[in-house]
Amino acid sequence: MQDQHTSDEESKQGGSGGEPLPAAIAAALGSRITEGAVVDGVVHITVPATEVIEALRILAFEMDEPYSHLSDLCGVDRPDCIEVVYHLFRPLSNDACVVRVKLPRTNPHVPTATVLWETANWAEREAAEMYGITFEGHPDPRRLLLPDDISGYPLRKDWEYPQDHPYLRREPLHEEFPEIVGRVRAEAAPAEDERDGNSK
Amino acid sequence: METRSDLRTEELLINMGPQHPSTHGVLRLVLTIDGERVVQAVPHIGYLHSSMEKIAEAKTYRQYMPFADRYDYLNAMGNELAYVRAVEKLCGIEVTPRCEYIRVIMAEMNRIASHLVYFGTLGLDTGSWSPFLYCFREREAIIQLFEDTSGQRLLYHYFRIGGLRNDLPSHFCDKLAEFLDYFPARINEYNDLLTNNIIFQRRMQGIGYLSPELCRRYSVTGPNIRGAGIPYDIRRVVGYSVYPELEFDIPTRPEGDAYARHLVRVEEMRQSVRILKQCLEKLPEGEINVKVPRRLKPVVGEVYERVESPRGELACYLISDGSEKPWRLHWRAPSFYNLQVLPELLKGAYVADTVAILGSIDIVLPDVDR
Amino acid sequence: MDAGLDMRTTGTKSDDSILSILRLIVQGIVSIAKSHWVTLVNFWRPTVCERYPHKDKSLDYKPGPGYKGDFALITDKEKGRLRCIACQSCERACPNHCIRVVPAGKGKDRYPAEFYIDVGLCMNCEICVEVCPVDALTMTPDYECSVHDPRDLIRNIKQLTERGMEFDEVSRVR
Repeated sequence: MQDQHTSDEESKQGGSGGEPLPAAIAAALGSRITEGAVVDGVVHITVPATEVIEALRILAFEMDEPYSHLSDLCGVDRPDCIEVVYHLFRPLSNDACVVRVKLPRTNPHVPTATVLWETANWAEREAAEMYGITFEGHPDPRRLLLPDDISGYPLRKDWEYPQDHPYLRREPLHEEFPEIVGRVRAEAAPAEDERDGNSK
Repeated sequence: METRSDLRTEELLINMGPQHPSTHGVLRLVLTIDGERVVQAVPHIGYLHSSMEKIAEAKTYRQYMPFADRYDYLNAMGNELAYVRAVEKLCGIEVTPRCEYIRVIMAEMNRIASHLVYFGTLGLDTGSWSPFLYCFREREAIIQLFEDTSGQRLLYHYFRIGGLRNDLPSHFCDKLAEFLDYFPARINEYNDLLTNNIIFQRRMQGIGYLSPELCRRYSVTGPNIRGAGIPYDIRRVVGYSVYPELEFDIPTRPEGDAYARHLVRVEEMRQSVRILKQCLEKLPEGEINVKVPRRLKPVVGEVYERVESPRGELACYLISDGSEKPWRLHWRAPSFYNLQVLPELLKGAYVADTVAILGSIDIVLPDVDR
Repeated sequence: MDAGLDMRTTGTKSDDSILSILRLIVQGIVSIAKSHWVTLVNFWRPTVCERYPHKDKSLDYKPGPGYKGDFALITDKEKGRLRCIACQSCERACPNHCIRVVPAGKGKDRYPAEFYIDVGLCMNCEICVEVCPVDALTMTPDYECSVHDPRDLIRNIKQLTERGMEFDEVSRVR
């Protein structure tokens, strides 16, 4: 899974074939943008972690046609970094602006976006527990979806599937099942779906 | 009567759920109440977390299809539509017009079915038993059509990447036309039974007030934002699939209370009937499947595909690294964000109105927890 | 006071004149009478519920030919053996890994010595049926799969073959 991943994973932003950024965004954000491109009509920009709230505030409130609808916020585990992705839209339109922040894998920090949208509250809590990102200044930094005793950050690619966790343990029937047929599975595909989280 | 400002009442903490008949699933609300008023409400979610996003990273694009059904079970066709559109956009697959129309028919039928469940359970929440039974009878007609078409009643796995499982059965169009003929009259009946009932009206009006500003701050979407007067509908805003070719209105209400949201949903069922009638008229003949390679390997890239689910803006964020399995899949679940606004709606409301307000924002808990 | 409470007092217009109270009472009576009329109308409509499983045999429900129910392995009547060539495509394609095939024989004579499907783990997605290159595995409209012991949900090759004997392949929609 992570080993078969190609290292030229550049995603879309900054990749080939992108058009230059719209003038309005380039002028409003200026040097805050480290990478930027337009792919299929969608604006992709990358900003440093320290500037992200200022950049989001300008995009959402200070432009002539602001991107004031925060559709989604999620984390992504890239091979070289952890990303936080903000999907912004103009209200009542399909004009999208995707803002990214690249964070180091060890101890990632980013300021919270809850000061601009309360939407970000739960989304950031989810990203925090799934990727281990610390959102500085978050009003309620508790776990959201996972049980309290799960260790590690499950959506990171290097997360180890805790075989002995009571919630994730397979039911007795599934334990017995390979024994009925024995050998077959082990030879064919060694431990292929260990990480798919069959939490029944 | 004389009141003394230094007289304090004691606040009481009560636990609603996780297993409560009116929470539509496994939701735990911790309510701080002062007398009959809610001072603070804290939702606790995650009881139905099924790691849908982690599963996606271990499955191929085709293998993940049936899982897409399973998290918002009342809108399985709509979820499939979001996922299948995301994958097709990533692979550059164009489906046939007939396939597009059938997909829209299925999604709209599912919207009616989902709103019927909402209508019935809201009746239950507010103390009326009959609408639930009648709505499920009408829903049964739709579910039966789904069963004849896809072979399953709730979790269909009917859409395929690049097409559909099979064409519509021969009796489908007649059966659906028959349903569409009698259904609007049934909506009127249910309005007489519930919506226009004075007890229900007095119960729902003026509670759970949702302002447009609150909607922006919390990214509330779907019938909830339309109940606050903003005509935000992804079908119109994005115009995906064949929706630009179809005529329909986006019902809105300016009031923003629970009753307004209810009226929007009822009107949406009528609009879905209108869409379905047009679809049946325009349904083109021809192939339903296009050729798709057996081993599906999209190019490196990402898409964020939005569709309108009965609960709001549903989006599938899919990142491909060029292999057979998605690198990352993220669901923008409408219920997840709509539920977040609940503490604001409950502030200052009566305890008895809690279930009515919760019912009126129409959440599905597996959709919240994913 | 916050917005929710203001709406409650202003939105429903509760002025106290005797006329408006009377109007409210009349409105209430009319709307409740209408509600009762609806229930009365529905009283005469046909019942759609079945008393499952204590059902009347005349009402016995048969799902359509495309129903995704229990599994079957189809026997090739001319050759008198299973169509399955034990290629294990279904096993690899299953998202839940609920199929196990133990192949035997070499080349053209390859056949499944054992064929297990855990129906309790299966989610009826029909991917296994779609990938089968020889149309040997199929789903049937049999929907009554409930058992007392979950171990009985594991289908073996004998059960699958028997079910395949009764299966009407011609009318199958897929």
